[in-house]
Amino acid sequence: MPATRKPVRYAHSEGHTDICYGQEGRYLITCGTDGDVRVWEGLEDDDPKTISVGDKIHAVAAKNNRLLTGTDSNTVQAHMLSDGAPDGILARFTAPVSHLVYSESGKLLAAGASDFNIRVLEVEDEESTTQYLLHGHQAPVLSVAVDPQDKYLASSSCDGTVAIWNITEKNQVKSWNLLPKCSDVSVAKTLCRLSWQPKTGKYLAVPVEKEVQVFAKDTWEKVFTLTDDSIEQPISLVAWSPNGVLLAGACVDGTILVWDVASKNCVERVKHDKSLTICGLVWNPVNGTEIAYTDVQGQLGLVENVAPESSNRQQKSEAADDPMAAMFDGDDDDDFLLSAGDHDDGSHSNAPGDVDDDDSMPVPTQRKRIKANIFDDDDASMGADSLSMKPASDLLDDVDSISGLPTRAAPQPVYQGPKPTPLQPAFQPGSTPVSLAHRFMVWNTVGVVKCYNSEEENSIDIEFHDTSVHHSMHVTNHLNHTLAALSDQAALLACESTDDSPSKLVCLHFSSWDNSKEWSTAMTDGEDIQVLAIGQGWVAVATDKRLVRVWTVAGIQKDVISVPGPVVSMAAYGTQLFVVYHMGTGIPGDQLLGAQLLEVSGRRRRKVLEGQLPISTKSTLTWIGFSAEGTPVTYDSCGVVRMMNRGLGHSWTPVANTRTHCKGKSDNYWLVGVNENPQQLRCIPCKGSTFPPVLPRPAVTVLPFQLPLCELNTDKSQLEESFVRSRLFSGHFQFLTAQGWEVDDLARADVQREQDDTLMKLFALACKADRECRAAELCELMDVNRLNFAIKYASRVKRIALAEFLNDLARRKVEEEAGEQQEQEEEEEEDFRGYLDSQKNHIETEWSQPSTPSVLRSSGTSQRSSRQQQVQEEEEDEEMEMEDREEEEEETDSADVKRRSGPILTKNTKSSYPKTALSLTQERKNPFKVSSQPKTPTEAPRGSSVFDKMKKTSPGSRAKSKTALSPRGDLKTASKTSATSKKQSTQSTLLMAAKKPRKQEPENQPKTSSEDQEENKKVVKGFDLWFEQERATLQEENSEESDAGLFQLAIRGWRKLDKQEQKDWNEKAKQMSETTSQDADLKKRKRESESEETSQGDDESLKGDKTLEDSSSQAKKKKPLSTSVNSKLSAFAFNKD
Amino acid sequence: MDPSEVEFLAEKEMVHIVPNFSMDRMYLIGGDIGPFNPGLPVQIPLWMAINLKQRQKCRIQPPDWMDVEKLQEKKEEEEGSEFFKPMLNKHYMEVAQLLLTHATDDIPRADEVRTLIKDIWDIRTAKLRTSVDKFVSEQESHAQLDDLSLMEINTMRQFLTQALDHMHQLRAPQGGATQHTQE
Repeated sequence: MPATRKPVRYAHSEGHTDICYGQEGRYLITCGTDGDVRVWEGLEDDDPKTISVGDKIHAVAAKNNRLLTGTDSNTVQAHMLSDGAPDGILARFTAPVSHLVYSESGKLLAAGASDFNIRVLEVEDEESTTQYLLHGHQAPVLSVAVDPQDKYLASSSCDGTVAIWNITEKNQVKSWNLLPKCSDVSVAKTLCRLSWQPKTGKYLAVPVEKEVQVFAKDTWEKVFTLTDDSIEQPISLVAWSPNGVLLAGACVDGTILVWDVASKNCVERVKHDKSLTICGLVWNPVNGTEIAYTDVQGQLGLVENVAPESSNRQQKSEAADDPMAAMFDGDDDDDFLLSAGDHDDGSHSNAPGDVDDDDSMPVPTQRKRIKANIFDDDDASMGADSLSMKPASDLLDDVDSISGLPTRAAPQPVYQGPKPTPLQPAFQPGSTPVSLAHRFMVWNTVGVVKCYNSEEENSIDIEFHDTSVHHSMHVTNHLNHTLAALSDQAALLACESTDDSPSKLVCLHFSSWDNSKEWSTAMTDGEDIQVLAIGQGWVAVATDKRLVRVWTVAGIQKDVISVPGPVVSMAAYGTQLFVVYHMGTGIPGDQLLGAQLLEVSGRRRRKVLEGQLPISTKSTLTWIGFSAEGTPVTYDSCGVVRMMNRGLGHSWTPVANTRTHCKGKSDNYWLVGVNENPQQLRCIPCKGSTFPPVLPRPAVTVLPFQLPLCELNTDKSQLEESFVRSRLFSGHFQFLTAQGWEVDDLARADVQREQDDTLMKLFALACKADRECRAAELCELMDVNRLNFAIKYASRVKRIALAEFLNDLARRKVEEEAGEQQEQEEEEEEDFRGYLDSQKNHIETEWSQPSTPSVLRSSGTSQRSSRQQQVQEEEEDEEMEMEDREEEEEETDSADVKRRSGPILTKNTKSSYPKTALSLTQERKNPFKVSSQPKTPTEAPRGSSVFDKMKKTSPGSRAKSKTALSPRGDLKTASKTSATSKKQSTQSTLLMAAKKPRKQEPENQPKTSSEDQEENKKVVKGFDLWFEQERATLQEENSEESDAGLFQLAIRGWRKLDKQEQKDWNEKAKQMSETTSQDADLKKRKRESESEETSQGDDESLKGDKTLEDSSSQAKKKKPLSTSVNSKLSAFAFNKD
Repeated sequence: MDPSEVEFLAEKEMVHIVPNFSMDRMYLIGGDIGPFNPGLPVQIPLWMAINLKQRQKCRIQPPDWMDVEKLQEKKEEEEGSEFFKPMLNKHYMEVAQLLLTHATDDIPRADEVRTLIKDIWDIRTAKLRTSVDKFVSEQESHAQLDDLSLMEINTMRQFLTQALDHMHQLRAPQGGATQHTQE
């Protein structure tokens, strides 16, 4: 089989080169005058590793991970083969090193230099510094070779001699004058590379002119010479094959010849296609059938498949009858000759063809590559053992016969099912890929950490959005950090582990008040940090050992948590830690992610949530984090932003899709932060990329949120979307309160108002669209306050059935609310937070609640105190009657107040509770009694519509029913009947019906109704005075009228009076009432102002609101007054909301 | 009108800045500004942006039109046209001048931008001169010039109006001249 010569390829710039194999033949290592060492993984390696040593390199040698070079700087330098790091200087000469060689055992290193000296170093132990200086040559040393048994050293020199040295005794044992003399290595005709036969070192081959002379060890006699007729130029280099059977020689004209030593026949002849002088020649130490060479043009070449049969055969015979030199010449001669002859023929006939074809032979190249791989794989088992040559060459044969990789390519059972989706790697939220030279290590709401990793510099810049947090920092990146996290307390940096150093965490704790602003920790061996997170006062690190480690911000180790799968990412906020991990393999294309939400610090350490994390189809998670208000948010590669809905069992809701905002298909938004109030999605637009570049500095834009509801082009859907979104985004108020954070009540009220407005709009829309059922459903979402407006609206647009339904609903709601509040207060002690969690978003009204309890409680107490203050109970019934009318508007409000405070009142005055109920059952009969008397039909025109009246009275009836919680069923029917009756009856009668019971209250239950009475009495005063004065005239005019009739007339007259006049009267009355207490007085004034407003028949909600507001502001001013006033006023203040 | 006055007017232009401080909404005569969130772009008048920049309280985001490609395009358009083309911003010269003086580091390829703005200015001024020249030499009584920026008008107005006045007097018939002397 002929040897094939692969085409040469460029390796170094023109000039002397050297070559050797490294790491048991895995690498080809070349060096050249360009000062670089290149490490090739094979001839086809297009990206050889380059180690820049600096000067011209004349010689190279490698052993294990150590690379030695002989350079122009007169030294032997060592480098690490793996990373090219310098590893010291081994020897120094006074002139450039010309040749460098390891002994076969690897214990010794011999170096010859142009300063005529040879140094032999013991290198087995790296600490050893033993050197043998062999001095004796009269000219620069050309080459050196150490005998495999480490006893002798052969050297050739420009002085024309080849010398044998005893290394330990440092003396010349033998010297031959074989070569032409010259003055320097560069002008020497040949390099005269010597070579000992491997293993035994029995022979030393010396190239002399056109032949190779072989000397025997110890006797130092020339045993035989090898030559060939084709040799035209002197042989420059010789090299024994690893098994010692073949000897390769390279001539100055580029011919490479291989002799079979036993037969002394030339078995291969290969010619360099440009006939360039070869200056480096090595056998592959593993397979022994490849010769690598370099030429003086800096090119690298390879001869493969060098006489494999020959080497095999030889080896067998050698193994059989070992050491006898005679055997070589003896028995087997004929065979050898035969085989040699065969080969001669073969190589002769093929040689020209080979040379021609070489440049265009992709197929063999391909095959060789495969083969090389096989050898690589086998390296470990094979080592340098010559016996293992056999299977190797067998394989070679197989490869050549194109059957190709027989054992490896054996058909294996193939998995036919869907391929598992590759798990997405761990990522630090807000970072760009590590491979970029300039990248963001993190960009969050606090600041930006940038990493510059170029050849000139490796540094980290930490910038803060808010410079008041901390000034920006510039850190030199010594440890090669790849991860960073930033908060307003500290910055975390972490690097991956390397061969000799573990993965390390560095915390720049800049908010620390002592002087040490930095601490660092190393991970355990083999543990790599993957994600970092900083919370409030603690830091967390996720590692590839599926651990989450928690430190305090000052560096105390607090927790180690095992995560169920490989960590994908992690984020922290306040006390919360949000970890996302792989749960397994998802359906094809999908990631199967799990999420854990933990509270790792603070009062309650607990796991809030563990479950699957939803993600878009065939997407990967690209960002996780918390909104500025502390709600977990995720973002996937499909552009969908999801937010946790705490109100719905920690489920996830898609809140935005950034893709809808992208103009181009390849555009992306890179998320940097989420705000819930105001609703902002902060991201960086990336045109045509996934990540923003560091320069020019990208600009943040704000995108709106939009829930993917259906038919978003309609008004209805838009309003619905707005409502649902608003509700979702206000969930954090509840959470923050539960966490014990302060909540901006104003913002909260704003959000609440916005929601209410949206609901009202939706309600109006539903009414317009004749969807009463839908409208009613909407009302269920409203709080009682808004419900009133809804009822008003419904009656305005003449939706009677709806208004009635809502009326019922409102009552039911109030009851529920009362019940809930009671429950809530009971539960409060047990687990306030848990309760809130479960109740969140349950009923909209809850959002407006938190301020109520305190107000109500105070009103409760004030009620009691006012009760004690009760003075005048002996008010006339007449006055009461009249007051009924006067206060007809105001009643709505007072009823409202009563209704709101009702539950708490009953709670605080539990003892009187049942009695109230009793009195109310009585009162229920009264309304019908009174309504049956058509007392003042003339009053009817005042109200704008029937429904207005109904609306006005209904809260009153509601108010009553509320105080009597127990007989619920009775009440309902009662109020219903009253509602129906109201429809036909006039306003005044209705009012009578509503008010009448109150008159009776003092008798039955003087304590509870006393307050009302007190109010009544006071308001009447103005009218009283007037009535007194006008009585006479009235009597004159209507003499036939009874007292009652007179009174009626008087009321009508009073009504006709303009406001100013009424006020004057009232004013007068006030002055007169010296006996009444101050607080009562105040109350009256307030009432008056209200009655003024309301008596206009103006029932517009806005206006009503305004009045209430006014009165409440008034109330605030007069706060230091009695508690009863406060209670009333604060109730109004609450109403305002 | 003084160039500084024109500049004053230009300072009302709105620009986006990225503040590095936090502040609530501000209520100014010209309208509400803010709230300022660190790291989040906000639109404020140029005068305030310059002021904040000088105090190192913000980074100014260059206006959209202050982009080398766009300006290049505009320049070519301007060169290729006989008439004035609508400019990217009616105060382009003033805004560019202010930003390039005070916020050079915030504008990518500031030097190129500066050159381009200057080029465009030169082209337009040259155009303006030629048209004035033509206007005068042809003794037209009126001409229409569209898309001139205030600054450009301002460079010519003072001189042109006076010059036209003088020319009018010079060209006026003898009678007019005598009349003039009589006065």
